[in-house]
Order: sequence, then structure tokens, then C-alpha cells
Amino acid sequence: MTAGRQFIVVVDDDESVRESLPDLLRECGYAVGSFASAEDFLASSAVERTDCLILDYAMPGMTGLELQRELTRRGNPVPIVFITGNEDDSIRPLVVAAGAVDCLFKPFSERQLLDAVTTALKVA
Amino acid sequence: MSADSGWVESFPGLLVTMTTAGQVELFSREVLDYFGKTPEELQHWSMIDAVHPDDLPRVVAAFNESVTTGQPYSIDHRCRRADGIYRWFHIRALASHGEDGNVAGWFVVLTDIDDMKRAEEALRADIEERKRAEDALRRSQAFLLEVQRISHTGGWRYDLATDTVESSAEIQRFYDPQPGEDITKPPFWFDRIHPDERPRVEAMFAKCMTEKTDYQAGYRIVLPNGQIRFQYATGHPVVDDDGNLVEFIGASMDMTEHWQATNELHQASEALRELQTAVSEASQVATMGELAASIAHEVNQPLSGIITNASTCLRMLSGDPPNLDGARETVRRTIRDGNRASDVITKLRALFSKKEFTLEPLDISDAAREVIALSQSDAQKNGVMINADLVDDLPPVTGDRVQLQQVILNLIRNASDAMSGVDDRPRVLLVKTERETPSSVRVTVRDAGVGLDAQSIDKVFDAFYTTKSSGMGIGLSVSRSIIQRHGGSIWATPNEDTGTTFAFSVPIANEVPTNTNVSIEVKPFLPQPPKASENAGATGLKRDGSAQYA
Repeated sequence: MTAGRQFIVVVDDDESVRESLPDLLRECGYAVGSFASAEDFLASSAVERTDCLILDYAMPGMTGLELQRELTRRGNPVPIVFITGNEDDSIRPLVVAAGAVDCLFKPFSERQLLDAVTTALKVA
Repeated sequence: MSADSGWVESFPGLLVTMTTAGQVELFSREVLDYFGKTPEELQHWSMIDAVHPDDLPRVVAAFNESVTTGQPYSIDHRCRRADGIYRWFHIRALASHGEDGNVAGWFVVLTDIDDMKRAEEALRADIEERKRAEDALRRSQAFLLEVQRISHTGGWRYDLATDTVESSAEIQRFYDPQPGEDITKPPFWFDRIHPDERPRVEAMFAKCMTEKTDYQAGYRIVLPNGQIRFQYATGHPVVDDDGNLVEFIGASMDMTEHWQATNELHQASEALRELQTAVSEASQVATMGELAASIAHEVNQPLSGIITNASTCLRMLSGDPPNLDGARETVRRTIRDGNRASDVITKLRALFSKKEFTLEPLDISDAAREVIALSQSDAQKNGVMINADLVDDLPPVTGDRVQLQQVILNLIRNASDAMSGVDDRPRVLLVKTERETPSSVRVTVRDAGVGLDAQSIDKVFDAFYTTKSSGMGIGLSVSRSIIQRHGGSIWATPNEDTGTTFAFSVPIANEVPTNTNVSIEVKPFLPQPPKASENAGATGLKRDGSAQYA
């Protein structure tokens, strides 16, 4: 963990998610950034200082799973909480096997989100 | 006999004196040199021997006439030089008379006019050639003017150094200049362009000037009387030896009648097209499980936003002091996401009604031609040129004409939308039909738009997948279902330069499955677990390497 407020990044191509999740997390005391694509996140300076990544599973361009692989390849194992709107039971074991902390299915409650983030920050 | 008269011998030219019998008496030195004779030979030589055979008859006639009449004679003819070369001479002969008044002899002066003769011949030939060229040019100009008039095409030239425009009569005719307007200056031509399209056209022309590239643009012009005409202009840059742009030359075609006819056809067919669209979109039936998953995905997104925003709102209201502005914003988003969920349900409801397929033999080129005609008006409003390459004698396919036309219409609309932001190249869309194999025909729609990346190519036919800021991403999924129902396949391929090519193939008649079940599967957009193959989700690869869904 870094000194000061912990920095959480939300990566999701859905604009409403990029509006709502950061606001909730800031109300809970976190510093939050958001990106509309995995490519934008990788190109930013946020990569090196992210303490927890909330990552959409399915996105145009680079998917969430591909971003996870890329971060691992770079030696940057940021704790990841996947979120998805697809009710596919095969997703959770898949992403957890790849190293994700958790996978939340939309719509998830505030409690579920904060518990997953807390777990992820302990790993960081 | 020798030249005992010094003045004759030293005469600066060819001079001989002759007897009435034609024998040479006195002669200048140059005579010996030219004809290559010795004085003794000359004495017994008849000059007739040196005359060109073609000139001989008239020379003899002239000489005899003079001898008979005693009158001088003057004639031009060729004389053979010692080396065998003939040269033109002007021969002037004057009779000398004795004391009895009779002709005693002849003074003959030969003046070499060969150079002058040849120059005259060359000049005559030049004049003839120039006349022929001028005649050809006049005919060509007349032909060009007539061609321009018939085809409603005019030519123009823009000179950078003088900032002036030259224009043909035809192009002036359809731009209708008024008294006081200066057609030699660029503002006149740009001022006529429709205000909605002027920025785009000006930007494109400026870019072509900067990059010295060819120019193409279709646009409306507004005449002083309010009439709107449609122009299609092309231009080509001309550079000097140093590569500097010196001028643009081009042509402009008036396509107003074509445009008006297309608009009238579009207006007459508008109701039919809306009915076709409604029927086509209402014909989709998905398997319940897959559709439920699709609905769940699309509704879960806004529901998640509602719950998150509501949670945030409560926290903000619980703060000390309460964050009222923040809370209002979360409530606004909650309402927005609620409406979004409602919209999803409304649009999805339209997919549930069943309609029967009408299978019949149809000419796919003919069907495509109708769709192109219906699409022209919208395309022209967007500055898009639709080119058609339709084969007329394709074997018929068995299919639902309305459904297949819906697919073609969807592809054309997508192609046009893909070019909506393109300003640096012509917005050209190509619709093509062809015989693909002995048992199938292919329809291709190619655009010059922004293109699709490799990942999007794989997913573009999935339901609810869209790269557009508006729209649900249903069109291509439905299109795929329609084509699959016809026993065909549909795919997308990135173009080598810009844009994308969408294509589908359908079997020709007697090759189509006879099952008339109307069920059409709408494949939901579901994430694919990673597979060994790079083309996860594809059922195969086309021969060019693009993903195929068949």
C-alpha cells in the first residue's frame, strides 16, 4: 500500500459505471481514478500507483482478462476485482484462477463492493 | 573554244552564251565547276542533258518557244550537278540580235534557287500541317463542348499565382453568375456551396492543396433564385519541375436531375421502406434462454448504476454537512439509468413478434439496386457517394426479398455511419454483387470509414455489441440471423487502406435448406473464455484470415 489515501482505479467502457462507482468509493474515503478502456489505463501514469483495480470483464478492444495478463507480464500484480453484467458462472473461477481477488456480478450491493475492495487492499 | 571573254569567265554565277543551235560558246568558271566539264567537253555538250527528266518536257517547250519567237524565256527547273545531285535553278535566257535584227545567240543566266525552293516547300508543308492541326483542334473543341453540354460536365482551372479561376461555359451555366459577380475569383464558387456543406468542402479542398492530392467532393449549391443543385467535382494538382503546386484543374458534373429523381423515388417509397423495416425487425425470435441472458446483461448495467448511485446518495446525505449537490447528481443518474433500463425493455419487446418468411426466387442484384435507390437520399445528405457494381445475370437465389433487402440496407447504413466523421478522403461506398462459387452469390458493401480493430471484427455480429455512441447493436446480429436462415454466411474484413468490407453469401436457388421454421437466433454478447485459437468465438476463418460466422 502507498502512503496517504489508497488509490483505486475503475476501468469500464460504460460511462454510468465510471460516474457512479468512483463517487461511491470517494465517499468511502478512497482516492479514485477512472478509464474507459484498458488501453487508456495502460498508457497512463496511474498504472504504477494503483492499489486496487476494479475492472470490467468485457470491453471493446482489450478485454479485462487481457489487461490482467498484461499487468502480470509487466510484473505489476495489481489486485483486481472484476465486475460484469453477464450472468455466466464460468467467469468467476476463470478470473480467480488468473489471480483476481473477486468477481462481482452486476447489480452488486455497496457491501459486496466494499468487502471486495477491502480484501484487495489487504493483498496489495 | 575557251572563255576568251574575261567578263563572262569571271561572272559571279553560272552564265553561258549559246548559239542559236544551242551550242555553248562562252561560259563562266562556275559552269565548269558545277557541271564538272572541261571546256572541250562543254563545247560539244547540250545542257538539256543536265535537266531533270521530270522537268524536261516543259524546259524543251519553253526553249523552243523562245527560239521560235525570239522572246526571252524564264523557267525554274532542276539541273544535275557533277556529283549527280539535282538542284533547282532559275534560268533566264535573253536573245542577242545581229545587225540584221535576227537572233544571233542567247545569254543564259542560271541562278541557284535550291535552298530557297526547299525552304518554300518546307514552309508549305508547315502551313499544311498547322492547318490540319488547327482543323483537328477546332473539331476537338467542338466535340468537347458538345460532350460537356450533353453530360452536364464543366471544366475549371485554379491558378495559384494569380488566385484566379477559369471556367467553361457549361460550368458557368449551372452556377448562374449574376451581373457584378466575379467568376474569376474563388469566393464566387465557394459562396454558392450550401451552408451545411461548405465547411467540409472548403476543408477538403484546402487539404488537397496542402498535400497536392486529387480532390473529389459531392455537394449541394444554392443559386441566387434559391434553387438547389447537386454537384460532383473532381480536381487534379499540377506541379512545376521543383514540385511546387502551380494550379488545380478539374471537372464538375451537375447531377441535379439524378439527385431529384432519387429524392422523388425515396419519397414515394418512404412508407414502404418503414413498413419493410418494421416487418424485418419484428421478425426476430430468439431461444428463450439466450434472449433472457441478453436481456439480463443489458438491464444489469443500468440496475447496477441505480444501486450504486442510491448507495452514494445515502452516504452523501449522511455527511456532516450533507452533500446536497452530490446527492442531487446521484438521484439524476438514478433516474437516467432507470429510463435506460426501460428503453432496453421497450426495444427488446419488438423482437418477440413472429412473422412468416416468404421464400421466392429473386435476383439479388435487382434487390440490391432497389435498396441503393432508397438509400441515395440519405447518403447524399451525408455527403456519401454510393457506387454500384451489380452483375445483371446472376442466377436467382431463393429467399425472403424483404429480409435480404433489410440486411443490405443495414450494411449500407452502417457503412455510411462509419464515414460520418471522415473529412480527409472521399466518402465513397461500394455495393457489389457477384457469383462467388458455382452454387452461391455474394453481396459486398465496402466503406472508406474509420474501420474496425481486430477485436471488434470478431464481435461485431454479436447482439448488443456496438461501436456507435447510439444504438443497441442489434442490426448486425439480426442480419447474421437472417443470412444464416438463408443457409448463407456473413463476415467482415478490414480493408487494406481504410474502412471495412462487409459481405454475405447466399446459396443460389435449389441449394437452400427447405426448413421454413421462422425461428431466428439472436446470439447474445457473452464473453468467451480464452481458447487455444486466436479467433475465439469464430466458427472458422475465411480464406483471407477474417473471422467467419456461419
